[in-house]
Amino acid sequence: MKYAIAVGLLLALVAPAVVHSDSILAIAIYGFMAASLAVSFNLIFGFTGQLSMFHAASFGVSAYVVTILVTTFKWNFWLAIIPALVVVMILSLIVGTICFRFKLKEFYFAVVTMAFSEVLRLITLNWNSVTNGSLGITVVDKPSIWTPSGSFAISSGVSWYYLTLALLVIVYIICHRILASWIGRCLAAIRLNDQLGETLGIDVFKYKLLSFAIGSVLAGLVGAFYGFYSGFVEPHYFSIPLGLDIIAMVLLGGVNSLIGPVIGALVLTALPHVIELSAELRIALYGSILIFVILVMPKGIVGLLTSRKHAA
Amino acid sequence: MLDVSNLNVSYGKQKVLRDVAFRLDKGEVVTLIGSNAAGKSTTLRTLVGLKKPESGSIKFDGRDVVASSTVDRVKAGLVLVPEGRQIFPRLTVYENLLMGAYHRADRDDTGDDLERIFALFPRLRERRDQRAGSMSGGEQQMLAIGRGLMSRPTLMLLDEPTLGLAPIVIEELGQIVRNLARDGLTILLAEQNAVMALGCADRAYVLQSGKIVTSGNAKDLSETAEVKQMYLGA
Repeated sequence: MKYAIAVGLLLALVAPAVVHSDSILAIAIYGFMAASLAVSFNLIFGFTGQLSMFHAASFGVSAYVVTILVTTFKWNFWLAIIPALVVVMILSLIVGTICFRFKLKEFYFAVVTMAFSEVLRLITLNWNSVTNGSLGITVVDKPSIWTPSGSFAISSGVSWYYLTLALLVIVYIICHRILASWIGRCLAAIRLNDQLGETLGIDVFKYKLLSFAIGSVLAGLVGAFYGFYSGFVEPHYFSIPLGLDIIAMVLLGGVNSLIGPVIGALVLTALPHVIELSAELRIALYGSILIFVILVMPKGIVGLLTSRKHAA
Repeated sequence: MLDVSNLNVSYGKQKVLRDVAFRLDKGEVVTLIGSNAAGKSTTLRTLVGLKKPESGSIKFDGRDVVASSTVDRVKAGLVLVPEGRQIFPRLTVYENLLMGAYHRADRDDTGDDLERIFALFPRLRERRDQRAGSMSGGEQQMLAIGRGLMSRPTLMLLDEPTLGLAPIVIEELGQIVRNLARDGLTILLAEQNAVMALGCADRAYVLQSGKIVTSGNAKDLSETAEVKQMYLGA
């Protein structure tokens, strides 16, 4: 598996030298951002066992905060990421504290986080003076980086490709480091049996909150970039369908692995573009594939690949 | 070491424990015997703080711990090995043991503890890298006890360790409890299997419908007519 990941990363690094199609690059860029979202979501869902419906909200809040700071207040893009992440962190700590203090589990946790997410969506939709309501905000600025030969705007497809690939690698490494540490062991203990975890002296509340906050902040990090690539932010970012898409990516790729959500996200991002059908049929087919996959391979693509290897 | 008095616990309107009182001295093995639903598990869960009592006091090492969290009680050396061989089935034996050391400041330095536990339970050493869920019931129970020992407890609460185990394994378990006591561990053993429990305990309390009805020296108790009839099948 490790070699497969290394080879995949290597291929991803050299791909732009071979592939010149802008549309394929764009799919890859959206795929990398979706994968970062899915990996951070899986920290909360797959590894801690909490079905958060707040992930799209964290993503959306950060996208809005960064966009508003840059377009209205003329902040530097990179600087604007910091307050955006702080806002997401505070929100996730509030929502998490409420849910975990009341020991909301499974379905109840999902519903309550979904409600918080909807509240934020409605605020964004109706706070016209700041968010421009349902029209959203058009983003014309592009982030730039400083190089010895002057500042370099990240506007071309290739530069976004590498930026979002770096984002995915960073999110992946952060989650990997967390899971390999004692925090990861505690999260596993909580997922498998939280009362048993408590008898071992694990502060279940603290670790659930930690996982929820870290996952949400990482989603915020993705949100910060997203609007600047797509060129606009809109209330749809907070929507339940986006949250469901993330769940679908994780389920398709494989819940019990770190790389699974990456694969799931890339496949589901590319799939609608590969299937050349009218829009309605495409969505129906896409849904059918999902249902089929979940029924036939409950451990996702990664589960299928690894079990084959064991059988051989 | 442990002094419990006037403990009252309810689930909703259902009173489960009524004025339960008992004590344990350092180095003792004390058993709490009773049938199903007598309140044994509730007593142990209340002792470690998984269940809040309505009233009563729990003094551990002279300090009232009713208000402190489970985490703090574990840190103070009060450890529960829960009922039903609760382990993490999908983690390996080694990982399960490691989890027991979680709250210790020196949790990354567990070599000596592991050696001690493997010496006590040689079969765990053989199965070190095996998934815990794939072991036999007896082995899983040893693992649960081993994990409890990893946290270096001063008082260990064992909740029905013999449940569903073969007679020969139960005998082995009794020997293990005695060995642990000989090494200086204080043990509170909640059991339905009175033969095993009275066989390895110093003192015993009999719990019936949430009340302590009899108590005394384990050897004497096993000879009273009431206990013989109700719990020893004689």
